[in-house]
Amino acid sequence: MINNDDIEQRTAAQEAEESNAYVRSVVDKTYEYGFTTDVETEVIDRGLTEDTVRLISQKKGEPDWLLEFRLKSFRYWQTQEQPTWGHLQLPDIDYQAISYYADPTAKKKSGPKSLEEIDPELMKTFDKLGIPLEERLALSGTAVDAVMDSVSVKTTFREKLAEQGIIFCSISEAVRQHPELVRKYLGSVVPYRDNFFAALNSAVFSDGSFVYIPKGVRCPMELSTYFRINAQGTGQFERTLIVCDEDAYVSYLEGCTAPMRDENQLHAAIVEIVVEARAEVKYSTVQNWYPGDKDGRGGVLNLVTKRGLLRGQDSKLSWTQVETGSAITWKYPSCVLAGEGSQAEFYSVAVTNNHQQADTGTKMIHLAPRTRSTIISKGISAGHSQNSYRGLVRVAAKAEGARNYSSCDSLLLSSTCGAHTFPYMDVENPTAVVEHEATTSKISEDQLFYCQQRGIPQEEAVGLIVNGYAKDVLQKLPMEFAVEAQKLLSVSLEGTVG
Amino acid sequence: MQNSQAAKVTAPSQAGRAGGESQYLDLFRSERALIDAHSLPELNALRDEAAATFERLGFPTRKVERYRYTDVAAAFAPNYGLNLSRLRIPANPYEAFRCDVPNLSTSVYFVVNDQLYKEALPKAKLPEGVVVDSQLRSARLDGQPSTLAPDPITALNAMLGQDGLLIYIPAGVRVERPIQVVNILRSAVPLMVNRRVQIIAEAGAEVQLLFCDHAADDQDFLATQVVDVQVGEGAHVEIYELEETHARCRRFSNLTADVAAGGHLTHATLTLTCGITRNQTDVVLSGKGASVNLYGCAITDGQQHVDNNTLIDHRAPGCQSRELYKYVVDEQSTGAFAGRVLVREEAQQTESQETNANLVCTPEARMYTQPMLEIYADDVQCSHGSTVGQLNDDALFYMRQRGISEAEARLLLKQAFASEVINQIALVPLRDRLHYLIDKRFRGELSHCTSCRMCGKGKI
Repeated sequence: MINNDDIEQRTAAQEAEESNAYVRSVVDKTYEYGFTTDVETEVIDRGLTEDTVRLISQKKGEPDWLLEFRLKSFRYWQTQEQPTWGHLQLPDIDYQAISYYADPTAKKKSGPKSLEEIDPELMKTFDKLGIPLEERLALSGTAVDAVMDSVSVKTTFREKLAEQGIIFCSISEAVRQHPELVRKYLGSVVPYRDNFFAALNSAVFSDGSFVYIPKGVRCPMELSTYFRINAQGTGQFERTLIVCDEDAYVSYLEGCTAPMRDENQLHAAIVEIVVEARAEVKYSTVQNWYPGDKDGRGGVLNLVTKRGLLRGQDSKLSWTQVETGSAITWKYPSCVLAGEGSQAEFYSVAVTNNHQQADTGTKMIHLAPRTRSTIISKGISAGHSQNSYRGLVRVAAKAEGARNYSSCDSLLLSSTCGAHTFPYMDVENPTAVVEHEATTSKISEDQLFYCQQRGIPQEEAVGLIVNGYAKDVLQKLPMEFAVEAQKLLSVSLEGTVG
Repeated sequence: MQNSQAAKVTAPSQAGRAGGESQYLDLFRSERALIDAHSLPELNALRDEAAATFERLGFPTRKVERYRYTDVAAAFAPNYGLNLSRLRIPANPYEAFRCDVPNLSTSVYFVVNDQLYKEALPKAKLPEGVVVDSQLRSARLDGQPSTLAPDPITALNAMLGQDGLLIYIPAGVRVERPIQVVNILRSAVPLMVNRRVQIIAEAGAEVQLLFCDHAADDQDFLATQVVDVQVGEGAHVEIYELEETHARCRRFSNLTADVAAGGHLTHATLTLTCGITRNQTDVVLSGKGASVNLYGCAITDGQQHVDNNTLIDHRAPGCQSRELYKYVVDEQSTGAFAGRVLVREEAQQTESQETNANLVCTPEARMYTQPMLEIYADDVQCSHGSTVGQLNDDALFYMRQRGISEAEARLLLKQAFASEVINQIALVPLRDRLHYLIDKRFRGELSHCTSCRMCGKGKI
């Protein structure tokens, strides 16, 4: 008996050592997607003044009402201070040291007319990222509005979508061609006074995507945009506006990888989604921006305002996010459930490693009767990272029979990281049912033991368990995204654990 | 009699901006000599620092995270009197008052406002070395209470507080009979009371404490209370706080506790009737294997407001914490619960469980809940759950099918809901009594103050 115990103990110790060795090897991996493309970029001078805002507007040839919107936002932004309430160590951002506009296609003023005209360097960048442009487009059936820095380089499948009356183009183009739509919806979900970063974005947003799905149209393919931050020292301020009219459906994918850089890069985007009656929008994100090096130097600051307004009856909005990158992630994709019987979902996997910090979650604001929302959040922290879930579920007095279920789990993979949960529940209606549950733990030794008993090596077992842990969220991702998400997770998630 | 009493009670200055911090700071500065003269050097020594802290922090606004659910400035704004010259309030609690938790075989002490009523001490002797006395006579203060972050209410209490209670259990002593302290608010004019309570249980000591809060006059009361609990190694302390005051009472209680290795603390807050109540409970588990259970039950209606704010700080390995808070919010009342569990890097093998369940009964009632986990260690098992909802329709239907009236069925379900907390109470007679009280409370009988002989009419 005694001997057996000894053996078991030793084996456990050895295994622990082996798994540690593997963890170390993976932790030591460098960022695989870090590279810089040498593209000629027209960058305007650093600094932010009213003149900068006017210059951006002028460069883009915008109408007066949009310039007014920008200036209003800018003046409001000047009166605001950067918020500090997040569970984050946000470095001081010198807003005057950032260039607010970079245009990789400026040298071809008229814009690329065919594939050959696109900067070959740029095409190589996309190749490295595996973006399915060109032939791959047809195979994957994905329309890509590729955003590199600030101006849309290429929009594909436009014609095919246009046949059904779907508008999928850059915001700048939408301003020119569909000003009435943009004017009606821009700032209607995230007003410029919403928060500090929203005001900044409203003042200096450079480009982004615009999607309009007309009544009763089911978008025949997944729409996606790949964001990349490329030119050094330029903040990227996209603005995405998705309008899904009555009975329409769209699934929108957003994926990001950014090249390696030493200084922090600011990313303050706004995503606005309007969902009309009986319409459905699925918005999926895979975010893998440069997280900084092992010692926490550099990395992207991802400070984003995302919100959907479920205006119509029985409308539906679903946010799915896989967050593996960025030095600091501070965002709360939210839903305002204003239409009776509307449904909202939020699925999130947030992985932090090394010195990454994430304070992310969602807000579900139930304003109308019979509204329902689900929150599934999975946090995984490793290294010296800090991973927080912060969520608000508010049930207004008129939201009869509102229902919310929230579940936030955290997995801790090192003794130096942190996992935190800050749920807020404000309930003002007696017929509402709001539930929240959360757990924080490390991988269950029992589960590991069970797998190992059945001949599964520890490393695989950990992979299995972690995969199972995140499965609820991963299976919500559209098929087209599965490859990239898995690739990212294998680097950032499974690897780290064991 | 009442007139003369009113005349001698010192009123805070009206000179400062109404309701602001200045009315308290001005009072403190102008009446400093009087405050000091009727207190003791240990407490006086803390005042300057406390005043500076209070002046710096001011009353917390709703932007201060821990105070976001309670409007502190509004509660402190009215002009209350303070009994700075320590007049004895003529009342024999035995005659005037009968507590709702009688016959527990407890050693009963009465505290009128902030003074121990020494004319009515229990006859049974406490074990050798155990002290239950006024701070004035036997203070063992060694500095400010161990708050984790400077707190404006704690500072205000230290600035103006003149007396309170000391409960001291020497090492290895087991107090068989529970010690019951009945806090009575008693005044003919609006009164502010600042109590300082210190509970020290040395290594291996065991004690059960029951605090019952009552208001004996239909008057505006503002009570701040700072309770400092030290649980020594292997000591076992149970503290039960039962509040049965009325709609004109405002209570701000800040409890800080430090639990040493192997020590255990159980703290339960039961709010049956009140006006505005805010209980802040901060527990530090500083020694290996320490454990804490926090329980809370609040039943609110009318315009009542109950805010329980807890922080459990796991600083040592192998500690356990358990929290269970339940609210039944009815009519236009407001309930708030914010519980934060902090697990520091060195606190491996932590087990923590936090549960908050709430029943919201009317469209005007409000419930805010915020169960937070902040974890920096990896070998932990922490969970929290929170629900807000209403009574189960199936269960109601089942009972109605069996001929139980809807009102009665609702009552039964609410009772069952609340009794999960009550069942955690180790003090069996108290548990039984609380079941009875909660039943009465749900039937709306407690608010009639049946237990109090001087109810409403002011017959003393």
